[in-house]
Amino acid sequence: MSALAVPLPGFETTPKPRLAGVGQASKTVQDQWMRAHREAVAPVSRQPMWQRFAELAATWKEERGYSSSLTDVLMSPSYQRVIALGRPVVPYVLAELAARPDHWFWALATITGVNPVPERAAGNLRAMTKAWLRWGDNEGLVD
Amino acid sequence: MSQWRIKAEFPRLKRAPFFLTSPESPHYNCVAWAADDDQNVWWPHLPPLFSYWPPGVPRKEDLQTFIAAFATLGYTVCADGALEPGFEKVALFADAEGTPKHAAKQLPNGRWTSKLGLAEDIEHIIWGLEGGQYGNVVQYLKRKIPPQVASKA
Repeated sequence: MSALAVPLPGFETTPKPRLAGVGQASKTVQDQWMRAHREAVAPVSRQPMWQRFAELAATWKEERGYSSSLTDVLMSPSYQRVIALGRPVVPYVLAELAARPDHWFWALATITGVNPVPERAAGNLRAMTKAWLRWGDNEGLVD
Repeated sequence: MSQWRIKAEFPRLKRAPFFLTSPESPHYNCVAWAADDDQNVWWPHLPPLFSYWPPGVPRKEDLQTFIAAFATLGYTVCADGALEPGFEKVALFADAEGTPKHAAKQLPNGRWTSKLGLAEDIEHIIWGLEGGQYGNVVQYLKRKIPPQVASKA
């Protein structure tokens, strides 16, 4: 067997030829087991939330490039996908904010429906970060 | 990000020498930098909860609004980016649709300083940053150098 014919781990193919005496029901069970195995090995849907957020955060920083427009920065696809993760992602966004302050405020406000930043602090990253981390602490969302 | 990435985004910088003059920082953007503010992100973003914009100036992403924002600092429109003793200048960039995308500030040596989004500052010639994602310079502004700045120079 050539190297190219060796199945990748988690992507084993159905054994061929079919074994004698193996019925359709057992084949269905086998197919379902193999599909479950594949999803367990490399599932996008089963990535832990922290990992999905970390990947989207890294992609967002690539996507925004050198854009000076805050509107463009916040409307980038990965940033919007973070918002789509909903309430479960909030503790990870707050942890990222504490470690590496960045413009996560639109996402946090959209997900939570609150904005703890005083109007006079709008645009000031340090003050906005401080306000959100205080809010997260009060909500029990910050370690 | 790297100089290679900067040159990829702004192809003219391959032929126009530029220098990185700061590390990356999300604390301020180009408009803030041109307005001598490195503590806030300036943009007429709506809702007005996430960025600074001069009070009383509409939050609209058009050229007149950006001119009005710099007018609060004493800038008025001018014809070009030539170095004029006693004055400092700002260049506003816009894309083909006329949407403002960038602001740069002239240095006392006649070159320009730009904050590239939320990344680094660079020193460059104005032509070097045109023709890329910021579009081209569509308006120059100038004001008399404030006395406290002039006395430092």
